Amino acid sequence: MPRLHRNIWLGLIVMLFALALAFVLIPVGVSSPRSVRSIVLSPILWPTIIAWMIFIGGGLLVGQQLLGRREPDHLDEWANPRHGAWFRLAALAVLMAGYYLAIAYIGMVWASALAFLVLTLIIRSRYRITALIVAFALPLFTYAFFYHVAGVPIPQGEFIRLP
Amino acid sequence: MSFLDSLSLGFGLVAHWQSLAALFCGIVVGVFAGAIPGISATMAVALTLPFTFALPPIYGILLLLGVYKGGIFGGSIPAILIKTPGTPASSATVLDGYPMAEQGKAGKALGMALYASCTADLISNLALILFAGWLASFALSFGPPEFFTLILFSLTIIAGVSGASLLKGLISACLGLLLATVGLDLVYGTERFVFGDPNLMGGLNFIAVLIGLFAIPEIISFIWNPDDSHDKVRSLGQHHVTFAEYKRSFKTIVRGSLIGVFLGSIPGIGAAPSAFLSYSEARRNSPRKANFGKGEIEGVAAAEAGNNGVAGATLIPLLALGVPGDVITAIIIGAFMIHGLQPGPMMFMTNADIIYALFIGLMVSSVLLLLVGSVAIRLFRFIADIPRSLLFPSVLVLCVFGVYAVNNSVFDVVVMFLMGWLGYFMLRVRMPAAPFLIAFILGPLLEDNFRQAMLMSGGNFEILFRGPITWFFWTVSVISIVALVRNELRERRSRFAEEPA
Repeated sequence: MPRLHRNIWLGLIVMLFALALAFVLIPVGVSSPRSVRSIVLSPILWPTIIAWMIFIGGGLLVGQQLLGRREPDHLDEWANPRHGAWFRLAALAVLMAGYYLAIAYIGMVWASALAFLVLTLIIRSRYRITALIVAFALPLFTYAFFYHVAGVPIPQGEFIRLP
Repeated sequence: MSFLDSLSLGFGLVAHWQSLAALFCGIVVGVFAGAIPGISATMAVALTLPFTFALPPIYGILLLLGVYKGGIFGGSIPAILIKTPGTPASSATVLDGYPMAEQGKAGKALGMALYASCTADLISNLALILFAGWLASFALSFGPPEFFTLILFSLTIIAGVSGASLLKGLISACLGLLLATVGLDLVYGTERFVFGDPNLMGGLNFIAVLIGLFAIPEIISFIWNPDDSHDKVRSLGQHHVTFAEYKRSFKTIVRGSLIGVFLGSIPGIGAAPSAFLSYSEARRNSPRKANFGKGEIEGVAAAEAGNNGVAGATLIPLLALGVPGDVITAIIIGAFMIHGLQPGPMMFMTNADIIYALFIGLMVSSVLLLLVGSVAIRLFRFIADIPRSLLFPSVLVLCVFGVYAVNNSVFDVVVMFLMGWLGYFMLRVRMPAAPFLIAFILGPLLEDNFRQAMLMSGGNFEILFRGPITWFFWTVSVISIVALVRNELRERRSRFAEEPA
């Protein structure tokens, strides 16, 4: 089976998304009061116009690639990453989820320090000692600024509370 | 209030050490961030924004403008010393800057880059002061139909020129418009894409979307291929730019500045096209055109004048019409809103003191840029040595703190992460993020003005063509779409013609 060009995939995904938007997300997610006098004032009108513009954009992208002369597939700039690229991406996704969840339990400062250290491990940074220092110094400094200067109540955990 | 009254009030606001300190800090942050390969001026402004919440509006906005101006110049340092433009706008500087560095004249190239940048910045600021007030007084007569057509025109340009593909730019802008509809409806107060979640009722937080789109994808890209190495940093050498060389390039600098002013005042064009146009014009008119590309100092002057000439001019549509000229001014418009200010013609009436304080601050920024820039050039070796394996984790932490601080909401952190993955996907499929962000900002204004116009006319579309101003914007919108499609087709044709059969 011939490999489809990236733009065709993108166009198809965009079109499918637009259809889902027009037929599922807008009817379910946008409510219009009965008292609307004119369709042009309805809260549904704007998202619907956008949905069809996205659909047309996706269609034109597919059409441009199929009917016009083919644009080369620009894969080279992402090719040949260091070994384990997909694993690192997955690890980053897990790290982000963990970072978010950890804020509620251990507070933003310690969650940030932990996230910093884990990220340097994922990257395999050579600067381990510096990483350890920055991992704690940066969140503490940022906390000091936001909490004491800007008056932002940075979430604190249940275990170690900062002044 | 007379011009002199406004000026003296503005002077009263800006004549404090805190204003100058904010501007100075902003320029330092901008120059250093712009000089670090991988940290763009956009990211620097986005990351600085949360730190301005605690400041009075004038200090906060001056700080951001300092980062903006510093970032644009800072990008030229790695362009000359390691052949890696710190910002896209500095790409044209590489053409002659790096060959000069190879010849041992990096100090001369950087000196000219700095002087050209400061001169262009000054000219651009003067243009801003001259034209913004005039344009704002003209725009005072705009009603919702005029604003609707103006924003539509801005969107057609922005969607078209922000990336390699017109269609992808348009799709990106549509996605931004769609995301802007999340929240309560402006007229009826009914829910749109809220799905029962109270966090979504106020719409998505602009800062979370912005940082998600412009900072997180850079982190993810680094994770994909982590690499701490960079090209060899060239030494500054013993050669320094002389007054005679500056004088010889002065005409080129002024021409480049005027090109920057003209292109910068049109929403969406940005600094990179201006730098390249200024460079090509300098090359066309120079008696030493054969030297261009081989280390010609006038080439560096032209490129830098072109990209810095944009910096003040992009603020003309921002301040006078409330329409951002590029991504960075889109961020700055967000900063105005966060500080309770709405840029546009009315701001010249209600907050004239702040406007004039900004004008004065911007003029001062050109001088401060000269001071900070000359120090940064000497310190670049240390800036370039900051390991990226520590830099990007630091950026992640700053993003989380900054986004949380806007609304004290952890939900915004989730939005930022999700937008980050979307931004990374867009990066991989070469879909530009700039139209997305600008449409996200302009979307509510576009819809609001459209619906207000419809309310005024009882649903009659004729109101959108009610006078010469609306007709003007409809006409230029159509012209811009036709020009964009023509350019796209021409570029595709020439791209295919270059490919071997």
